Amino acid sequence: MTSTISSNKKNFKKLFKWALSRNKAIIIVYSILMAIGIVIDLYVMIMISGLRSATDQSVNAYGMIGYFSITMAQIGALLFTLISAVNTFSFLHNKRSTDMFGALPVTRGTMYLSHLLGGITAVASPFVIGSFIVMGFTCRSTEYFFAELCFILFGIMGIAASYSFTALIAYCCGTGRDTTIITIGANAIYSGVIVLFFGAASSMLPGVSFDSAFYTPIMTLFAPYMFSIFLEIYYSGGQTTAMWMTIIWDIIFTAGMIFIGMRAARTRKAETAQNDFNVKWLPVVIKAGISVLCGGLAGLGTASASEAGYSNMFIFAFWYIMIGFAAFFILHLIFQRGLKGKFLPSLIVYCCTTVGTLGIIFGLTTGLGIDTYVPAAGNVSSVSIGNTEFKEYENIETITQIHKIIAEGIPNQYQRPYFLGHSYTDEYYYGDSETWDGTFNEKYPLTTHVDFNLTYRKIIGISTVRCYYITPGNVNYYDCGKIEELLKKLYNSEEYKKMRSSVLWEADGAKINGMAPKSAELSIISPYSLDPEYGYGYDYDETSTVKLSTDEKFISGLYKALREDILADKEYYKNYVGEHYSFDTFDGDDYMRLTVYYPGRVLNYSHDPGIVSEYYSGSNYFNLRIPYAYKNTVKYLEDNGVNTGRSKNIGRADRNVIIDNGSTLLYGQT
Amino acid sequence: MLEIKNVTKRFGEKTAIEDLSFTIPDASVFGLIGSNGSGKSTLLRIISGVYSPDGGSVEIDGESTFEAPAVKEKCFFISDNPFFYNNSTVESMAGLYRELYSTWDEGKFIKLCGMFPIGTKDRIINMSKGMQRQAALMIALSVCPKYILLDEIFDGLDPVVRQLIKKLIMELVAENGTTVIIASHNLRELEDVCDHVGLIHKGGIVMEKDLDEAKLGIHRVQVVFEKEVGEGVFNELNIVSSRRQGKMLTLTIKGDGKVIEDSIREMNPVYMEMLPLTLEEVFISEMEAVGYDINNILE
Repeated sequence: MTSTISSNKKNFKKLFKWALSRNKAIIIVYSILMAIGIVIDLYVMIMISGLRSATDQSVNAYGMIGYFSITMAQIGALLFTLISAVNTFSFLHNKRSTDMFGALPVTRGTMYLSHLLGGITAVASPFVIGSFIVMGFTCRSTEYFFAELCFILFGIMGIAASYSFTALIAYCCGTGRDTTIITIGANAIYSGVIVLFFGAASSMLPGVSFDSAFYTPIMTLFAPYMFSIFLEIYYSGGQTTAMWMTIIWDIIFTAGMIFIGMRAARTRKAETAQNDFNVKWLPVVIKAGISVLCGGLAGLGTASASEAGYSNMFIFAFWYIMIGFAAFFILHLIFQRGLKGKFLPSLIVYCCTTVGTLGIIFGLTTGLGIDTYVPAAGNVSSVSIGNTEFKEYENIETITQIHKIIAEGIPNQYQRPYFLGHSYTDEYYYGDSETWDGTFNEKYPLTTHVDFNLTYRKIIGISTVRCYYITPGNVNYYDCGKIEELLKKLYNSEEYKKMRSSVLWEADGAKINGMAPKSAELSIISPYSLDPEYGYGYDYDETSTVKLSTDEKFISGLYKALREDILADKEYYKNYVGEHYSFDTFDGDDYMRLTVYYPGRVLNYSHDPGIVSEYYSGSNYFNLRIPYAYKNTVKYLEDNGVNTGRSKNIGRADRNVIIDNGSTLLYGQT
Repeated sequence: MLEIKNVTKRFGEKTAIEDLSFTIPDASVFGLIGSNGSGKSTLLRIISGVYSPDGGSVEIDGESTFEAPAVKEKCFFISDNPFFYNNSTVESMAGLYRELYSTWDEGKFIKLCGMFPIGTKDRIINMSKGMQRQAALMIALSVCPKYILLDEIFDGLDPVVRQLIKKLIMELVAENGTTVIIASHNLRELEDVCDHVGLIHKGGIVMEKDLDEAKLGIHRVQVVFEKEVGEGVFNELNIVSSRRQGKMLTLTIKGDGKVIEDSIREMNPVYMEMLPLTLEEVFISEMEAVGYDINNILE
């Protein structure tokens, strides 16, 4: 036994070397391409260094060259992975070579592993060496160093996963041609079917939507040729959860492929070479998959394009079956080299798949009524409209009522299944009182479309997400008057006001992180922007107006005083809707204006529901109307040396108190 | 000893070999003969571990050959159409086998390189079919295996090389005690080197004997009688075939030569001669006996 194992190990090394030598041509060609790429990189870098003087710009530019080059090297590596894997395992697809390799004194598992690792090494070596050379001269900062290092690692993982996948396919197929077709087909078909499934679900079930962040990791599950590219996308986009999930899956997938590959190597019948599929169900599944994909795309496309009075479901089903069957028939001719053999079993599988998917589609759209489903308020712990999350039962109920009106209006506008549409647009319903005016108010008709998103978090722990695509064309299918009434009720709720008011929000102990100064440069603004509403400014000496520029303690004290006043003022609080950037109620001598500026970068990077910075997505300030009756606030300001305009007979515009990134600009003072 | 025990092999619905059993003694040259599609090559592939049998087993020295590297190292299989990569040379192929077989004999390889008229640095794929076989055989002989399996090894070889190969095979058996199994339709060549033959037909063994025994067990007799005799006269003899040309009757008869001769002499023939049978004639006779429609094929 021991001698057998050591002989196997010895022969493994020999066959590994043999597999490497079999890939000599691929190593040479890929290395030459990498070398050409490196020369181009160097040339571009020399050009850039002549054009740019600022060091940081050069560092970024070089880093970007590194990113781009390693990505291109990865794409090249994937192409050579396919070529190399098909070539390395071609010995399985020729009766003469199976005679030679089958008779060698090695186990089939050793034969598989040695060829697999030899092939991976052959493709990965030029990639790794070339990428490290690129990294060596493009990487000038730690940030780029880690990024490029990760890209190289992703590339190696992608090569290993893709190679082991193709190797397994090679063991399942009788010819190199089938191996190539199925490798490419499986990657493309699987991803295509997933995209189709999610796309179809989103378009057929209005309101049901899937974020790409959810389905892209699923899309790559069995498409290993996309692993490395998507890992880069996740890394660059900061999608760390998706990245780590993909990395873990990549490792599991590769290990799984190798394990199954070992089993396939042991059980593969040598006589299948040049002949047939070793795994009988593989072509059946591939045929059914491609047919469903083709039929589904044709069905959805024709149903989407149809504006006639026919039932879209009928059109969908007709083309789904017609094109699906045509695809199935052609594929059968390709795979079986004619109509001979296994036509009936394949047809049965295809028919079952078609009937099953049609049944699911009919069931989901009409049978189970998922498109008109609205969760019961009692089962929901919280619900978000856009980014605004409501937790109070009364508000949840109001939202379910709005949802019900929308869901019940859907069948009026579409015939099922619904058109292919896109769920994610530039316009977005933030769930604030500003937007609904233009969406559901007929006085101010909607001029563009918005996505009205609802996320229910249920008591049992699951979420239900709905995204409605509301356009000027379909908005009137809903009872807008009723929706407007309900929305007003929602936005007048205390819960909403608290969420939308940084002052009141802080009252609950939350930290207003958008108010703190982020840098000295942002704490100074031009005096000309002091009063945008009136369109003129005051020529104050900028530096003399800035005081307490970084005094967070002052802001905190001011908010405390203001909060006490607002909460004590029942009449005001009743109508208080939070901070506002238009200031149309500023019309008397009993008020002063408090303008709060905050850094734009906080605005861009903060996405927590309710943070004030999100509320004014297009602005970097908001205004507060402060009545002089707010004694605590006025006293606090005056105690801190702020001229509120109360004691002096000055114009109302001079009664501005500006808080700028935590600073207070004092006007009227000398 | 190589034992084939109840081996069955099916390709889909077609049965290539069915319940085949026989034993090949060590240090022998075993000729595997049979009609086209009888299962000879399939059997060699099963013995060498290329194919896994659907039933039964092949054992070398008591161990199964399939998935057993140590056992497979004792064997070398040259298929009827040996495989070489496009850029393979005799030297590069030798590089692979040199490392995989511990029995590789470098001295012998160098000697064989001198004996065979082929360039060791030339691309094998560009060589003629016969030269490719020689290349494969050079490597096989250099490995010095205990069992060497040759499928149609004499095909495409010129007479000189055929003689050389036969000589080398005989030397291998004599020096190394190698067991050689040759599947071939070239019975003339087999007759020169084999000491045992096995006849396979439709996946089953028809005959497995020492070659001399096989040849002695079947006889051709030319006989002329004064008067025409009926078929019933030979009922006591195991006649495989009979042909009449004028008065001359040519009979192929299975059985002991002496008994056959005595039986026919008792019938007072005018002329009688016992002719020796070649292996090819034995093959045809045996095939005829199992229902191979030779007359129909030859017409």
